[in-house]
Amino acid sequence: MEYLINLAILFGIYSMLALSLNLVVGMSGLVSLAQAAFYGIGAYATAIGMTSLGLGFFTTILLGMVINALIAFVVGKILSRFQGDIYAIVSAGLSIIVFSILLNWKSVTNGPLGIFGIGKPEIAGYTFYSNATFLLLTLVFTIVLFVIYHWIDKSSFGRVLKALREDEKLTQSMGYKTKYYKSVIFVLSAALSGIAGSFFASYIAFIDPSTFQLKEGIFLFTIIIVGGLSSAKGSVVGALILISLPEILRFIGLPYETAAQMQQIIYGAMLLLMMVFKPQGLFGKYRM
Amino acid sequence: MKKVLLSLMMATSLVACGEKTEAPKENEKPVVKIGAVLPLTGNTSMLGESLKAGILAAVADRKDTKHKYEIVWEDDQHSPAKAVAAAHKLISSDKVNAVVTFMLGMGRAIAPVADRAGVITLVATLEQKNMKPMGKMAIVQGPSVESFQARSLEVFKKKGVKKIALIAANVGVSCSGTQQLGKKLSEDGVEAVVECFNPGERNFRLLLSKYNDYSDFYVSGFPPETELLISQLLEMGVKKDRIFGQGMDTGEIVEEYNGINHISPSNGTPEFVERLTKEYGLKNVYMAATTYDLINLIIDAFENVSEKSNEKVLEYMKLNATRKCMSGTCEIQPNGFIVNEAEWRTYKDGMPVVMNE
Repeated sequence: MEYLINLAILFGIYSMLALSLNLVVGMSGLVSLAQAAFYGIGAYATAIGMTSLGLGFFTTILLGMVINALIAFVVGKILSRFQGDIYAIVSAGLSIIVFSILLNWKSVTNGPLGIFGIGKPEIAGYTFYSNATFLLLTLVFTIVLFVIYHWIDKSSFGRVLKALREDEKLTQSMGYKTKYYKSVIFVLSAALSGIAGSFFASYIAFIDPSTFQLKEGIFLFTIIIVGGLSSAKGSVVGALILISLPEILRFIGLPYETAAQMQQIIYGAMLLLMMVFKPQGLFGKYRM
Repeated sequence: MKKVLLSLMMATSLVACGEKTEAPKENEKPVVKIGAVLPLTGNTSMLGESLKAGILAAVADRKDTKHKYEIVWEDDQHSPAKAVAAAHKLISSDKVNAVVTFMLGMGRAIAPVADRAGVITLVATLEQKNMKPMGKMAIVQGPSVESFQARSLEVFKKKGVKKIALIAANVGVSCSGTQQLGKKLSEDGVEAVVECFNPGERNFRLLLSKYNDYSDFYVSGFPPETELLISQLLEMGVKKDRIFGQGMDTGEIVEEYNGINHISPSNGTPEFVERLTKEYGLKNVYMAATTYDLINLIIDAFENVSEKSNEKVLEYMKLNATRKCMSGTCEIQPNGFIVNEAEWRTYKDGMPVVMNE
């Protein structure tokens, strides 16, 4: 049971990340690979805030969101000038820069040694110490993000983002300042990813830069492609599949000499087959 | 689609909740399960293979035991997040008594999880002096950065190093340790420059071209970066006996290593190294002596305590651990650390030779 609870916590964290990424990639059609960077900044805000500054968990969530929003605002100004491949490359650049900063700004981030001893959330003297209570809190935030996603999806703002996704020039010709929309959704997505980062830091109690590399951004991308672009349900289901699949493979009883390698091959093959037979993802409205 | 999702959730629940009933028959030995969370795939898998060989050798060497020792292997791909997921599975589903892992990051991620479940954590890693305890149930073994530095300084002195470029990967304590080493060398009047590179670097030619007039180089990190560094240093015409470093003997191009000076964690006896390379097909051995010691330590404790409780086992380990072990002496300090000495080795005919004396 404890194992399932832990799996569910990871599922909650990755659902939050997928939902926030789907706002940019799925809803707006902007191929962002920067999510790992915002995830990392959120995690480090909580780690440094709680261990060095003595802040509470929820204050550090806000701190992470604000830092992410500020960075995304500045970077978004540049990114909003691009589309498609160029957008992906520039956003990947941000991911690499943030990783390098986390790795090399040793006086603040402790470099490759990471930060450990990160505490658990606390409200009015109650600490979410057990995994079960931590899971409840994670699920509450996941649901909040799910609702936010739905709200944006159904709003006029969301409709403009979808129009932008289909044809930016046509959307501009209708009088919409698409750069503004692209910037706002990027800032919002970055701020929301920070929440997932905070939860991750508190859950694992130790973070180092290796978790927040570009490959993590690609993994998040895979989640929303498997689940389906521009779908809240798809984000959550994608997270469920990609988090639980490697765990299920731990139990299939392969000979230990080759188990780890075989698990990787089976995992890759399953994703490949899925993309062949369901390229728009499970609940997706669009193909990449 | 709903059916697929439902099946997926049910499959996860079933495999996770399904208690693996051991139900040993009366004449069977009670089972002690040890989880091993190692990098078995990915960039550092060659380290995982070596550490795994140390564990297998330790279990194979203990035949007449009261308990049966079973190792449950899990892959962490050198990621703390994956290590935690693996530890949860080992603790909740496999009901292991202890988890053995590699490197500070993994140890720090796993120890709180294991502490909470009353499971012992064993970590093979490089360490730094005065480190905070990793956990109340954690035992950490490996050479200290300080011991690496002391041994390196000794070797540099013996080899008459006056001017050296120290190049280290920004991973673990490698870069910070090398920076400290550079500082100490400068204090000793040696002209030393330190360069740190991010993991994943492949072409060092540009970096090395800055040091064309240097004849001595120190390399710290893990393959493939260190292997490439060595190749590119040799390409530059640097003599093998003027290349120093640590961690670089974990690669597979051992024929290239003849004459190079390695400052490394202890490999144990030459017989032990030979045995591991033959029995487990290893090209090179890295910290296998450490995992061998850690597993022996816990087996000793389980064999000697009257009650099969993890707390008693840990207590026994802490009280009785001052003994000779494969890596030297295995004395557990109050913070749960076993500090070993680093070794100076070189390679002759593709085999490591200890040069300490």
